[in-house]
Amino acid sequence: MTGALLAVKLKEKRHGARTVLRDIAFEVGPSEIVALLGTSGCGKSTLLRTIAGLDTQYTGEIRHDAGRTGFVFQEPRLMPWLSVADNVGFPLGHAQGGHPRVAALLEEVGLSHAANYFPKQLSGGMAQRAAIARALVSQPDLLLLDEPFSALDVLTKGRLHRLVRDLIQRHRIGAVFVTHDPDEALALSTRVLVMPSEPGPFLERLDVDGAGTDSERLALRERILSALAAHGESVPC
Amino acid sequence: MSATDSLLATPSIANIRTGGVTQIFASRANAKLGRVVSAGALAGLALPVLLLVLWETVVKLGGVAAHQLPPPSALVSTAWELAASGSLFRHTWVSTLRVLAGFLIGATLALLVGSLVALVRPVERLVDPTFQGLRAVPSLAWVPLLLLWFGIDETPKLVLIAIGTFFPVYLATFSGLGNVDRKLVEVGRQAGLSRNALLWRILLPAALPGIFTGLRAALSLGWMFLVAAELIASTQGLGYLLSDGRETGRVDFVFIAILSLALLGKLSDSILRALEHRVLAWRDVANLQEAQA
Repeated sequence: MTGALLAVKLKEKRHGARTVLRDIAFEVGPSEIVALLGTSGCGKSTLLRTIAGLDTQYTGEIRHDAGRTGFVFQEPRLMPWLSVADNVGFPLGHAQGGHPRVAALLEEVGLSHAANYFPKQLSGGMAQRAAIARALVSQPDLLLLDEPFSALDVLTKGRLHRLVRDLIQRHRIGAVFVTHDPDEALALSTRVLVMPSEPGPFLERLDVDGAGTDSERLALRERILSALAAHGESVPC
Repeated sequence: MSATDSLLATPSIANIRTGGVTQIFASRANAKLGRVVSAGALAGLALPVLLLVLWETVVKLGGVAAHQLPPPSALVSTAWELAASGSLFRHTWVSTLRVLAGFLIGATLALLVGSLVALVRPVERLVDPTFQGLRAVPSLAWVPLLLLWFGIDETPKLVLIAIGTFFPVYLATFSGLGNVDRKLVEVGRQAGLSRNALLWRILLPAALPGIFTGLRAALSLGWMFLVAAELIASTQGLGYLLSDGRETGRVDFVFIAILSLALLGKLSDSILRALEHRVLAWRDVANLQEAQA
């Protein structure tokens, strides 16, 4: 694919003597949302951290053609001593809560009223929305999300799915997100990559974009589950 | 609901007899009432006032000789004399300046050295064992050395207070920076923060609660070392008032100095605590009193 924001050709990634990832290859283009789906402990978070540059020991090649990368962690990870606005402006520099982009993003994620709150005053969903706004404030071309919705209730999760989809489309960025939930992968992504539970190449690559109808989605869901099951693993939790 | 409230707010004998006392004190209704008449402050004053009355009575009745234990009324008139002559103010002022200066020097150095030791591994290996060893020296053991080196002027006093305040702040800074949540540091790394920015924007703010605890411990130690320094060699200050009272047999001077030290120590800690509450308003801490109720 030409014009990819991210091209991953990972040969091997180890934790000490243990191989965690092997022969992983994929690309992400603009406006694409790629879901990395796998069971717990299959190394999907490690893959994302490696892409983000937080884990640096690996063989192979990870090419970023994206200018900037935003990262949404599994927990909100807001600085407890900063207001919501200053947290969102954190990547821009010290005390950047007054930056016009911060105000615009707070509006987009529906937190304008909470700009001056401390993180301790936020609910889980509000905190995660602030974290998403923070990841977007430096205007990244690529957004990485590490199971950012796993601690939220179903309703909040659904709202945030729509929010993230809209944001990614509106800002014309690419995204990679990690999840263990097939339904979430189908709801949010344009492409699903199913990871094996043992280190190795992807089990399935599914284009979700064309699947408009419920029956098409159900069929994709079946394929994901059977891919995971065929690999000798129980259904992901 | 309102009937229960009024019942709790006005404890009846029956209520107390049936073991309802704890309930009354824990109840929210009582807390509200307490805020109106500031019962908390009154409760804190009750014991000292009672002791003062008892003290005065016992001395006046001749139970204790007045030259060994002057009654509160005599202390008030001595305090008045000392205040009117300006010497109480001078002693207090000199002592406060010494503590403040020594504390500022010690705490500032401790913050710098503590940060350096926590952040630069080779420095930690090089100097931390030495500091741990020096910390084990009871700070009063420095006094003879400081007198020999610096004479009996201001310098040895400031150095002693600085030494005394250095270690709690050093320890708090060092361990505070070492215990910062890796997850927050990762946010900074992901945002591409420089080492410097990481220190100022994540590590130090995150370590601040611990550092404040160290500062408060250091300040109260500062008063302790002030007295030690002033008792040994000085012509001014509350420690001088103490030793002057001892040498001239003026127990009332000693009492006034002790009371002044108590007030100053409490006052300076309250100021630091107020600052802590302001600066650390973001902390998400449990209210232990409410948790118990």
